Amino acid sequence: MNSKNDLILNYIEGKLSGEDKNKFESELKNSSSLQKELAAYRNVYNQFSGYKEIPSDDDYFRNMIPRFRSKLPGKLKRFPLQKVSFAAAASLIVVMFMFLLLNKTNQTPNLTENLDEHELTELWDKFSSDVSPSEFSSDVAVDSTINALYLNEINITPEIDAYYFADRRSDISTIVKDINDEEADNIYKEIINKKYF
Amino acid sequence: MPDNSDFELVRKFLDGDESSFNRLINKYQQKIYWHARRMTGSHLDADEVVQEVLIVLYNKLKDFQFKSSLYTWIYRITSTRCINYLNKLKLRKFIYFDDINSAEIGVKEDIVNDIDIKDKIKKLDQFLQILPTKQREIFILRNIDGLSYEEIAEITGKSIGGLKSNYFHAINKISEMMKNEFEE
Repeated sequence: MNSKNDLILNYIEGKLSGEDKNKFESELKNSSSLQKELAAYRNVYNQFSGYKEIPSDDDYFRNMIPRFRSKLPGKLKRFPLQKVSFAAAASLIVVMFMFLLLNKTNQTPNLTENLDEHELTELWDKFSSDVSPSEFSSDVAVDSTINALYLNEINITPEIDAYYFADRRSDISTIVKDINDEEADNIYKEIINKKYF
Repeated sequence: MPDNSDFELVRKFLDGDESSFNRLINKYQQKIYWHARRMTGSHLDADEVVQEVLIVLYNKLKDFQFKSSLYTWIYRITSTRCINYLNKLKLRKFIYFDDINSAEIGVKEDIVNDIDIKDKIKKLDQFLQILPTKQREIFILRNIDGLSYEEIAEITGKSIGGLKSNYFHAINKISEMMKNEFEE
C-alpha cells in the first residue's frame, strides 16, 4: 500500500491528526480525483458499519454449548453398547456356523424326498431299465432307485458278473438284498455324497 | 493485552472444571459465529464451522501457551477452520457439480429475523464472497472486527506491510463492486 492509500484510510479511520490532517484536507480541496477516491472508500466503510452489531436470535447462542456438548464423544454412552452389539453379532455368527457345519456332516439330504413324479421317472430312467415307470410307487420307486444306484455305482459288467457269480446260485441282486438297512443307508449316503456334493 | 480472567478460566478448565469452558465460550461465541458467518456467507455453513471450532478449542486448550491473548488464538483457530471448510466446500462442489448443503438437520436457516437487515447483510455477504479468501479474511478482521494490523499479523502470520496491501486491494474491489451495483 502506498502512502497516499495509507493516508486516505487513516483519514477515514480518524487516525490523522494535526499537521498531517490539515495537509491532507488542503490536498483534498484541490483534487477531484482524491475526493472521488475518498468518497468511494468512505462508502465501503459506511456500508460495512451496518455489519457490526447484528440483532440475532438469542436462542441460537443459548443452545450453542448444549449442542456442542451433545456431540462430544460419549465416554460412557455409545461405546459399551457398540461392543455388546458386536459381541452378540459375532456369537450369533459362530453359533450359526457351528450348527450348519454339524448338520452338514451328520445329515445327508434325502435326494428323492422332494422329487415329484416326473423327476423320479427321469431318475428311474437314468439308473434302471428293468422296472417300468408304470410300476412306480413311492416306496418301490425309492428302493428300486437305490438298487439301481448301487449297481450303477459298482459298475457290474457281464464279464464281472460271469466271473464272480459263475455258479449262478447268487448274483449281485442277492448280495444287495443281503445288505442290512444300516449298511444300505451308509452306502446310499456315500454314493449320493460322491455324486452330488 | 493478556486477559487475566481468560487465563484463569483456561487454567480452571485444564484442572477439570468443565463449566469454565462454557464460560469461555459464552464470552467468545458471538465473535466466533460472526467471523465464520462473514467468511462463509451463510448461517448454515457458519454453524458447522462454529461446532468444529468448539471441538478444536475443547481439545486444544491444553496446548494454549498463554503467550498471546486468548481471543487472537481463538480467531486464528476460527479463521483456519473457515478457510479449510471453504476449501472442502469448493472441492465438494467441484466433484458433485452441485450446491451442497451438509448442514445439520434441525438447525434454523438463519438467526437474523429482521427482513431489512437480512437483505442488507445478504448484499454485503455477496461482496465479501467475491473477494479471494485471504483478502476476505483480512478485510473482515480489519474493517468489521476492528482489529489492529499487529493483531491480524498475529492471527494470520503475515507481515504488516502485506496485510495493509491486501486490505487496500480488498477495499478497492468492494468499492468497484458497489459502484457497479449502484450504476445498475
